[in-house]
Amino acid sequence: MTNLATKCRNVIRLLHRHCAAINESLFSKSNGLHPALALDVAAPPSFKQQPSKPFSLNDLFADNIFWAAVPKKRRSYAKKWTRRFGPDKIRKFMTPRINLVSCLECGTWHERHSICGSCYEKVREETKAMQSSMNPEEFHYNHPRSEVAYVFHGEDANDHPDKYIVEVDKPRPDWWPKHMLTKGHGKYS
Amino acid sequence: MLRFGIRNRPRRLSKAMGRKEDGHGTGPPGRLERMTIIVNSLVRHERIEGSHQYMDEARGYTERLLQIAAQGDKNHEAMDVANYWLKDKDLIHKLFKVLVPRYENYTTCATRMWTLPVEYPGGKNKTSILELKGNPWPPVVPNPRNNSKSLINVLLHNAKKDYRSASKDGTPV
Ligand SMILES: [Zn+2]
Repeated sequence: MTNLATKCRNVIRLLHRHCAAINESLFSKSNGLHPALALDVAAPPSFKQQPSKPFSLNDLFADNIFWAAVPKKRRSYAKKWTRRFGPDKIRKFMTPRINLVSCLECGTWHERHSICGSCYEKVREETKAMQSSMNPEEFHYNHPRSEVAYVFHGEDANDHPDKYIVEVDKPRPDWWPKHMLTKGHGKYS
Repeated sequence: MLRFGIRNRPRRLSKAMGRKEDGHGTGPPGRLERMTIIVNSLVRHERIEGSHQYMDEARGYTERLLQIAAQGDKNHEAMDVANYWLKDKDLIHKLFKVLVPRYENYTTCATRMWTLPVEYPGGKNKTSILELKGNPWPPVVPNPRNNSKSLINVLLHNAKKDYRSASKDGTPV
């Protein structure tokens, strides 16, 4: 008896979960049924695009709605609250962080062993902009066979002999380190 | 010989290419397949981001690939290795014509790794940046602070100098 009750409850739960789909299949306008019981909300675009078919029970079985995994046993309150606020969560959220430092440039907090995330964000965007300025066919399928020089606005391409020149459609950012623009500074310049 | 610190134990990464239909991982072949994908991507992009354990494993393979490729494209072994690790064949030209000359005179390793910060509360997995040195992209840390003149560093530097001069003389420190 209990088993039967559980199954019935599961079926009701399933129907409730997928009521939007069932509602659509039952009361779609092309079927000619009266939409009085339809939900008074705009249907998501995926439902609108789908060609509406006449409703049949076979569809429910075929769509795995009936066979979807559902919880079999009720989870007790003790376990539920332990999962939500138990020792694991206390260790995760309430232990003080002692390895945080503040970025000297922008003040964002980050771990001591890591770089500053918000400072790296602009580097990442700049890198993506530079990569997209090269012809994607060449970048992804026929990479240049020499060193690549990215020439920003107002720079001379003749400064880079024997290099593959890529022109970037904007001026070089202010924060670009100056020592990388002069020759003969470092060991491998 | 690799020019950077490596982990004692290799990571098995048995589920590097996901799971098969029977529920098991793809094992060592899948691990190598994933490594080839990462190395291929690194040689093309010169800076990639990803899970720390995968980046760290792929780093060693990249270094070894560059060292073997330094023998030149006339060498059969080097060509075979490059052919295995670089699935996109246009990158083989890049390897021998761009990267090998670039790292010819390097006394350090050719790659560099950075750790990205985690989002609160974070987990045990870190995200990392793996890059080839000498790439054309803007530097990851654009203008790093020069801390060599801070008091602690000056004191440490002089203590180090004293220690070295004393141990050279043979006097006990
Ligand atoms: Zn910052």
